[in-house]
Amino acid sequence: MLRKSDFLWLGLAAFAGVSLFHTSYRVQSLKDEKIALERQIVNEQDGIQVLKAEWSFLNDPARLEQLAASYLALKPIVATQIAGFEVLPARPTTLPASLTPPPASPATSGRAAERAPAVGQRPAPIATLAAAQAPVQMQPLSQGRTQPQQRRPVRSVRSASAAGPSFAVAHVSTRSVATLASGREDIGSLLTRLGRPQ
Amino acid sequence: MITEPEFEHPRFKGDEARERHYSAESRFHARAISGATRALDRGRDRLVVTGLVIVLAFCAVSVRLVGATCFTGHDEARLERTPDADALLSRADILDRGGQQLATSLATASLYADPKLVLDAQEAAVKLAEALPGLDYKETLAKLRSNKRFVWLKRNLTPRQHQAVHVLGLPGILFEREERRFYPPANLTAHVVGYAGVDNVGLAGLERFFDKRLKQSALTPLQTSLDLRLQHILRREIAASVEEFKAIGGNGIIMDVRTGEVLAMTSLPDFDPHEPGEIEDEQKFDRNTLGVYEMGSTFKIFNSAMALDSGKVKPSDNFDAINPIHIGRFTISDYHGKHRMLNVTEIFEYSSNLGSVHMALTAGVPTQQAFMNKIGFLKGVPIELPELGKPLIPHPWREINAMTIAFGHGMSVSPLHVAMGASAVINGGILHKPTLLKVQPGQEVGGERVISERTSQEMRKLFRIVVTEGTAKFADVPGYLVGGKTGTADKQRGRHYAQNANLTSFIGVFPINDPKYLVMVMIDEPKPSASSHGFATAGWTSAPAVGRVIRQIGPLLGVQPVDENRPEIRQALDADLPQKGTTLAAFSPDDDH
Repeated sequence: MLRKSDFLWLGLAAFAGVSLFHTSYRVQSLKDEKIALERQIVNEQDGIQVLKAEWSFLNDPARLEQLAASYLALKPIVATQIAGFEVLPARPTTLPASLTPPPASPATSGRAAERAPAVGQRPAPIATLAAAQAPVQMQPLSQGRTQPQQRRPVRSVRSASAAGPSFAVAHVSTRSVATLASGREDIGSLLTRLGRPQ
Repeated sequence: MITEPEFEHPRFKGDEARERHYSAESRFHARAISGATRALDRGRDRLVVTGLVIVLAFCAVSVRLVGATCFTGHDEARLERTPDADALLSRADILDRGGQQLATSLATASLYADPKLVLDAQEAAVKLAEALPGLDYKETLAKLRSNKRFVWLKRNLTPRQHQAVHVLGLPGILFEREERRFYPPANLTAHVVGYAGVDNVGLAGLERFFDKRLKQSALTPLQTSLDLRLQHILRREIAASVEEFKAIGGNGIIMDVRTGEVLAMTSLPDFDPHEPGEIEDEQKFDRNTLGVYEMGSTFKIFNSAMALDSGKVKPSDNFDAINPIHIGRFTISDYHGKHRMLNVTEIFEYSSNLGSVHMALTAGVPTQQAFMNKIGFLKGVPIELPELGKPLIPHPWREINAMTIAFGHGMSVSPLHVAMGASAVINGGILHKPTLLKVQPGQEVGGERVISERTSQEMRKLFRIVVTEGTAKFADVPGYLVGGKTGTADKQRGRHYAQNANLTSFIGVFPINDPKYLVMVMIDEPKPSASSHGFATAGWTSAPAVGRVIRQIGPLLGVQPVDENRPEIRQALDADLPQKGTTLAAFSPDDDH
């Protein structure tokens, strides 16, 4: 007859066996995972190397020069375009005539007419002019702040009709931008260059 | 169904017999039965346990089978090889001073075969030749039939070729991860950076000089002093001049005179470092460091500096530039002959050979030799390149040698020697070793005084006059105060000097009131062009190229343009310049628009 202790030992042996197998399998799978990860790291680093090389390749001065010449309306800077502070004339105490605001016409509103005598016919001091310009300068800033709020509903519409034509347009445009940015032809030539026989 | 024959147990034959049987043998029977039962029981237990174990084992196998076949389809058996961490990068990158890559390593796959594992060599060779155009069929077949266990078939496949061969699935045809050196600027920095062979061994240029360093600390890039933008501008302008004057070659150097850093160095014709096997000797030749030339009049920089620094010659001293000097079978005369007495400034301005000879003789032959030694013209130039030319110096150093050396003949040095020496003459008198490694801001730069600051100051004035009044007017750039010296040397053909084969050079320094950068351009055998009115001298060939280079690199280097007509500048250069309006952008307070 099997005694109780036999069952205990049997159970223990079975447990030991199973746990051993389990551990061994886990070690194996972790090993596999490690190898896969290391392989992935190598691949990623190789990829980074390729991208870096490509970046340098695309930053070739001759290529940039050619692109600048064909897409920009700018020319290389020359010495006569550079000036130091010492060649600037001293800050004028009064504004030149061309910068003074036009005299208030009788047709303007009452408030403008009220302000006109304060400024008078003499050119406005610079401080006054700067103060007058301040709210104007603030304007683009505040516009910038409101812009994202305006854009948000547009984005949600696009995501709602993801399969619609708007998505297709967005898709095409990102693709063309990506193609432009990466310069596929140059990558091609990079690879051909790499593949040339020794 | 098979019917069993009747079976009668002896026990059931008759009641009496049964009784007897029972009673007589009951005790024995009982014992026997209990023993048998026990044995049977034990046997059955064992069977059950064994059966259970077997069932468990089968269950485990079937579970594993199901798992392996149904749920882990993607997890195919793979080559278990841990990638070596060191194999990631076995050679460090080479960068320019702005961090742009000049050389880098990329991983590629190389194809090799284990001929023992190849089943059908002919089929494999045919398929490989189809997949890889350029692979020789016969050679491959021979390799696949050889008795070796390892033969390279093709190194450094492109990703596409790798895929094409991979798809063939040929047994015994295997890939090895390798590295391939890649030079993003290609020809642009070919001579300086050099190249490495297929086994990652540096064979030329920085790749060879720093071979150990690049391998030992593969993760730290080597930052050079080169500036890719300047390199490009210099090469473009030299190439334009070589083209315009149908020259056989050209070279140039841009150097920071304060540190000795070489910012750009180019030599034409150049080569593609990706194909070292196809480089011709003429392309491989680095004119800047390996070539030694009789530099001609640019040597008057050193002659004047030497004479002035010796104290035996003053700037106002006059020397005979009237009578040609006859010595042995040579006659020394002037190209831009003035046929009058010239002072030191005029000798430099008109590049008078006669005056220079008299200056050298006044200073003395030993003084000249000692000076040449001091500025490092008697030995190879100390720079981090393996391709260095040894200067050709006269031995013994006699008077006739001193006379010809005064105007740059009879002694050959490399253009880099001249750039190094001119930097020292102009920067205040400190000789810095030229270097191709970036000098970090705040880093101490070693130097050795070779001439006094006062002499250097005098030399700046002479440099400026050559550009404003003398032979190099085309090198002037408004705002950058270029100073320099032209040199047109007759090239030696055999034992004689060829009359129509020149080596023209120009050394420009800017801004000359506070020298920062030196630009040197040399054109080999320029022919007169329509735009140069029949001239092929340095003033018409090299000087304009330097002017074009300085015009473009000045803003890039952040040199503040100065107005040459400002009183302190005029005083510093002590030059009797005609009064002109300002040469820079100006705002006049009277402008009313």
